Amino acid sequence: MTKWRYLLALMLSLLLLACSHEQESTLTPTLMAAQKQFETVEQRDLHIAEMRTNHMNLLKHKRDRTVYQGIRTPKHSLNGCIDCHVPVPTVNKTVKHTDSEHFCMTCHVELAVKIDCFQCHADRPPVSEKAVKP
Amino acid sequence: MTNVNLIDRYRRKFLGGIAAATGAALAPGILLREAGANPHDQAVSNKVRWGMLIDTNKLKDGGDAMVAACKKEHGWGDEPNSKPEQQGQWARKVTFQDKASDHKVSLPVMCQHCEEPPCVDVCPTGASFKRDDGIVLVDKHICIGCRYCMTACPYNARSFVHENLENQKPHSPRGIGTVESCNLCVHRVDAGKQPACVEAAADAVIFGDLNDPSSTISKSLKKYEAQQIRADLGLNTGVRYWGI
Repeated sequence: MTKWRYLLALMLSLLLLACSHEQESTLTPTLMAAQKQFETVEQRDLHIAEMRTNHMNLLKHKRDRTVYQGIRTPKHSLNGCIDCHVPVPTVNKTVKHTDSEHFCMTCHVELAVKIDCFQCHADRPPVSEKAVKP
Repeated sequence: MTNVNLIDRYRRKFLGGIAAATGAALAPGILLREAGANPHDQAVSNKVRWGMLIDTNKLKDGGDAMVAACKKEHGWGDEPNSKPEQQGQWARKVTFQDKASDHKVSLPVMCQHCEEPPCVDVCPTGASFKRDDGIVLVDKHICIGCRYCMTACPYNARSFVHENLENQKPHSPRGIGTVESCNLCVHRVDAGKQPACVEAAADAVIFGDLNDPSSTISKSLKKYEAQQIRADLGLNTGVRYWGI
């Protein structure tokens, strides 16, 4: 009998743990605002929903098409994401992928998912040469 | 029976129609790619094979400008924590002198974009590969940094990134633990432009399609009987030299 009681308690605690975790994950961290905004709220929400669940697959799919087939359309290009989601570096401030406020890192730090994209790829938009020269 | 035949005939006609339609749609697409008008959304094809012909007689600086342009385009060679021999080196100037005549020749040496690349043969993961249009490059996503390709390359064209990098160019990703080499500026070629080194020495280098017998590079190759370095290896390089 006591065995069953222990088991029940264990299951209950596990269930509670799962519930509390679920509740936490609905509170998404505040992300940096993108440089460009969608015209309508529907478009924006669609983009957010698609990207939240699928960005890794889209990026990986596009990456192979780019590397092997030379297809470099702006859609799902990593540079395209970065150009819009990370601010252009200024004299005063450069947002790097090591900062937790970097668009990608905000969630990845929260979820403890390590990405190595930025070991090679640029983590911020390029500074145009004209802008640097006074 | 006649009914079945009719259906078959109808099917054949229909399929033929589809084939004709796609054929008509494809032809202008390919033309577009060659003209560089809107090539971004089309996969590269083995109808073209990119190559370049370097005239060492016209290179006044022996290729220094070409190497510098490559460095600027891809940002290699200034790794702060690497020893000189560990620095990235996508292209380098090689000078050789004939002992008897003292005749000196300098030439820029980079990945020769072989038709039969030894680096691709030895790569254990398939990271080293030849694109359909003849450009040999490294898929750094699956490169494990074993450096077999560096050993296999007879031209010493490849280098290895030994340290964490920052401030890479958006169009030229490069990073720790992977092998890198000249990629014939794929990002530029895909955009219908010429590689950075070709632009830096426009009067000494011809870039073009080796498969097209009427292209300037093919004609010049035949006319000047341009050589490949280490022709004895039979790799049929895409980078050719004249005047060595």
